[in-house]
Amino acid sequence: MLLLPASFLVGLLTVCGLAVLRMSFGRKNAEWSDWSFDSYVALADPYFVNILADTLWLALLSAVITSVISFPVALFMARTRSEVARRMVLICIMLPMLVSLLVQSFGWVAILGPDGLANQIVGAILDVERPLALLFNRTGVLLGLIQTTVPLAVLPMVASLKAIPLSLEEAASVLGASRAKVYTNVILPLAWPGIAAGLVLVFGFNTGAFVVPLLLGGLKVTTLALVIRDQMGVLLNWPMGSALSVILIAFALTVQALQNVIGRRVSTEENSHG
Amino acid sequence: MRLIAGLDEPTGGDIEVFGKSVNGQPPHRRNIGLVFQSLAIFPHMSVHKNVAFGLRMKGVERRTIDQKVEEVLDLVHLPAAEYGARMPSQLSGGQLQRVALARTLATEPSLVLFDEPMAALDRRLRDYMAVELRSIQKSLNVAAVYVTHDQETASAMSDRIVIMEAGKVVQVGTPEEVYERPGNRFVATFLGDMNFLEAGSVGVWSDGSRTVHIADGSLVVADEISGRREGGSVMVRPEHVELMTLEPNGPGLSGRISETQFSSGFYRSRICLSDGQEVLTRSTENTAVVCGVGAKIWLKIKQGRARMLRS
Repeated sequence: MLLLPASFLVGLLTVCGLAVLRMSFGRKNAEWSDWSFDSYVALADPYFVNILADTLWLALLSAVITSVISFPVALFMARTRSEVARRMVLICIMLPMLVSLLVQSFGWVAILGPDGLANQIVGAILDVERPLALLFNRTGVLLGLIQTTVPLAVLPMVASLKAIPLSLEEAASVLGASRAKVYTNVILPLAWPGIAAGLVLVFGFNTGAFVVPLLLGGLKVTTLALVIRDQMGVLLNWPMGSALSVILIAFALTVQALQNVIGRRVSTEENSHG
Repeated sequence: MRLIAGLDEPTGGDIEVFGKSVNGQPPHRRNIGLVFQSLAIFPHMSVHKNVAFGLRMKGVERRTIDQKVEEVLDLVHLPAAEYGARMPSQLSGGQLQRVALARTLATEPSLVLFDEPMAALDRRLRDYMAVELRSIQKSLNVAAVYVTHDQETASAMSDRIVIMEAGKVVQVGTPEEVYERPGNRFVATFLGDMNFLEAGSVGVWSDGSRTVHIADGSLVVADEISGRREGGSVMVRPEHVELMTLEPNGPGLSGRISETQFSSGFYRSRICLSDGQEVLTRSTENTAVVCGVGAKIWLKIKQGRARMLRS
């Protein structure tokens, strides 16, 4: 009985997914009757290929940078003895998730704009002729993508860092490992599953990013999600939009699968070394 | 232990290892080995890698590392050919113990610290490991400090025992000294069983021996009684009490048997003295059993085995 609502939801989503798949093989204005590969052939156009590459590159870059930024935060949360400090950091990390992406993006517009906070600070310190172009370009989009996904990277990292007993670190340092070597030899390998999970989550989340590139990119940075919106909402080319969606989903699923492979690879690699 | 290893900093005082102060030195520069209570084997590394870790951190050449790892793994009876490639999850508790020991010994520390590493092992394995650990320590001739709550391990393994109570040292000595001449009640009960008998008046004989009256009898104590003539406690180990069916010549106590029990080679009995005090005895003779519960029996303390409690 309890499974009923859940299976209904899963069923509905499956049907919608299949509908998108079906439409991607249709023709404009004959989405349900005709069969063709036209949309997929059109995807080979450099215009789309570039956008796809750009989307994945932005997602990858943001995933790596977010993880690097998140690691010290996660380490602090996992290791601090003060429960109050941990809660405070947790609230700060979680707060953005409670605010809609739209509002967050407008916040960045206010900070990064030619007259915004960032430029005022830079202007006060250095004598610059023109305000730095931080908004409506890749820098702005990247900053937005990083900021909105920090919680996705921090939380799995905290979980895996917390699972590492302090005695392992101590054992390593008693055996002669400096602080840096303790990190590279003990903490990072053991926390890797959490770091990988964070990377994949951020990457997956940002391949489908829509609001952030729309508002912070100012139509100068085009991502896959924006193109899908244009194809479906503006041009009413449903097969084209569907085909792009299928590609997006395919990438998300591939990365998910890769995570499993990476996680397993690490453990078997350690196993096979004598 | 954590202070010696450098994992914690002392709030006061100075720590010297072989006459050199190590205060302020980070743990990785001290060359002190520490075997953790939790063992702290790296779960993501093979046995070989665990043991090689310390040498790798010191930047020792690869071939030398392999040689040394093989050597110490042989020492702890885990041949590298068979166990080197195994992961910690594939080993038993005793084997993990050996890996932890090998990992510590591989770096040839000047001092090895053991933080109750065998607490999690079952008793038989623990006794076995204690003997082995002792012989390895002897053969390498390396100084070791072993912290334990297990008095059997403590007396079986050490040259010198330091007994600490609530963070303060209460007695230092060889296992025999500490067992035979405990300084206070805590030390006395820490190492084995001990009878404490409330003493009445104390008399001094012309030959210098002291007699203490207890209940309706008396016994001779071995040590000097500094000035005191009344009261105090007399300590007697259960194995130093002889049970006799007839009244002995000279000093002795008498009482009734309240319980007897046979366990692992010894007859243990509880004797109730006339004033209600109880004496535990342990003997290989079945005297108490033959007499039966409730029978009157005489107690003689082996010569020089009763001592006054100094407190």
